[in-house]
Amino acid sequence: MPLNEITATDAATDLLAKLHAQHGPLRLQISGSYGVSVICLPAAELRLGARDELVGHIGETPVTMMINEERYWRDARVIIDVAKGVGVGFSIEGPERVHFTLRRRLDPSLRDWTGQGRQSSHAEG
Amino acid sequence: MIQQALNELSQQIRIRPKYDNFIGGNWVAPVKGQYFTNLTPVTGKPICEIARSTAEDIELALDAAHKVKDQWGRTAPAERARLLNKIADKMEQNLKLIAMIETLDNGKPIRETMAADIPLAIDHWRYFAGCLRAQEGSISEIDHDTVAYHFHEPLGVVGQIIPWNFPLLMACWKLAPAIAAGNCVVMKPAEQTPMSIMVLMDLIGDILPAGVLNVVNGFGVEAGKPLAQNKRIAKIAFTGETTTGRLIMQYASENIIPCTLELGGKSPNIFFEDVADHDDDYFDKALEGFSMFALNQGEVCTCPSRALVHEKIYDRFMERAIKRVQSIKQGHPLDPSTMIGAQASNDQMEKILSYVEIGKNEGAKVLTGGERAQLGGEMWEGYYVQPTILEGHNKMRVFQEEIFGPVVSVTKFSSDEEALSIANDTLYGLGSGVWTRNGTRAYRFGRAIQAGRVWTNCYHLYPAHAAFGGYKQSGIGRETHKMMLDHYQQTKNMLVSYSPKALGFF
Repeated sequence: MPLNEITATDAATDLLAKLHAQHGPLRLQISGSYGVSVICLPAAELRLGARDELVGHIGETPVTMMINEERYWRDARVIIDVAKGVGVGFSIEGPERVHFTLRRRLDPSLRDWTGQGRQSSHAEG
Repeated sequence: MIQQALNELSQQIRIRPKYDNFIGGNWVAPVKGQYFTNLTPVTGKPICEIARSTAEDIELALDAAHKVKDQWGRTAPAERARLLNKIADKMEQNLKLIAMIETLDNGKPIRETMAADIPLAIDHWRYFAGCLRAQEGSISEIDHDTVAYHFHEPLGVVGQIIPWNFPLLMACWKLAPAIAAGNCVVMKPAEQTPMSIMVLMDLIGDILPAGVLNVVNGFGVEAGKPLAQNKRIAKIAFTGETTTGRLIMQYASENIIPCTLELGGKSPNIFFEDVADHDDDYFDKALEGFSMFALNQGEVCTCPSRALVHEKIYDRFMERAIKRVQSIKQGHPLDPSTMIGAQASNDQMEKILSYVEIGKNEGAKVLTGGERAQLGGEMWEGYYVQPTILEGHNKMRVFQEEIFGPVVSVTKFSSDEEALSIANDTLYGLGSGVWTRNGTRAYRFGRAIQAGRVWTNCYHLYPAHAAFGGYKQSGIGRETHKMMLDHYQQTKNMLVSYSPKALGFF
């Protein structure tokens, strides 16, 4: 189920294009711990399981995450950006000394992803 | 202050401007000749160059480890334990030096590295030296003529990938049991904090036979991944972030080898009504326990980042708790009176501050802190965040997601049942804290919490000999206990018949 809005800055789109040229098709996995991060992997690297859900696309690149984290995302506008410094784990942009980062702007006016209407963050869970 | 510290250190040990890998007892340049610049979070400025290794370097380290693994595995336990103790002694003799390097590399206050990180790391070597000496196999008498002997045997060569929040302590948590158990190790430190362990190799590198302990630096995808995927490791141990943990497990499945994982947390710290029965030493200790979220700048998997306070004492308790948190001294990590230092990276700082904003947007109230601490002098560009208390409810993101910073989210509860339901309403299950003067309540509550460690009337103690590890999405396996030897050993069973008689089947 798609998030309400998941977009990328020009810097993130450019970096994705560059990495795509080097590594082929990619996947962005939103990951929970150590502060929320977004990890960029070759498309087939992470074996997806029952908890993973497709939540959007940046261009052709799918964005996925573990479903049990998703309730905290449905009233947020998600923007994927690039920041300086080494990122997380085995994310493939690490050697560039930059990393994908993720910002969320909460917007209670967004429709709930289930399509059941407006929902404020306080009504979650 | 930084330059002064480096000058002081370089009188005691060679501080290299450039660190190669430590492989087979030697300093070995990365095959591709690439390096990256290591910044200190204290000032955000470079302190040294570090090998940017690739799969080729991992292979070299594995060659070195495989060359010596049979010899090390056969070395008498008494001798292995002696060498572990020697490492501990050497570290103890150089405590201040190691503590200073760790503070420069990670940004944590020297008070903590001197009093906690390094002394705990030292004790870890001694603990596993002792465990190894005391370890026994077993004998089972199947019948009068048939005996099962059980021997412990090392796995061989193991891979270990460690995080940046306690670089040397996490290294020693993993190295001591693996090496004690007779294994050789290839370790990949975190690229954020690659220096202190290399200084440690300069100190202790000649104690163990060459090849037993190898350290290869580099980025996760270039050096960590080829280690985790390698056909020549018999086990992989990892501490870090969730998706990387999943990948580690996946790679382990491709080679059918075991893995142990220590992942995230969102640990509850629960204060029952009787905590405030008296304004005494115990109450003071509980207030310190509340403030423990600021330890190590909150960059701890077990950070007590959710505080649950009984509604009847909430106002009284929080008034005192806020004062306690406001008295935390933030400053230069090398100043011995500093209680909270710098976050490990700019990114980490940005993430923490964005969580405060998210919290506010969801209706959480900032009770204290909430902003970047802009310190003067050479710390101007360092990554400092004020210790922060947010008040809200457990469904908010700041109660559910690991922030990894000096931020605690506080809420009230009115009954034991409610406290338990809030405590367990999380993806994680690493740490937790229970504060009550009632022993029976502490026992029942502690048993009901879904977490691997329940600190009871204490928090953030990490002694060797108390098992540490996670329930739920916090990981698999335990550390800091003699059971760790089992995580690094095979069981060999010899089933022996002393009967001369055929079974009679054929």
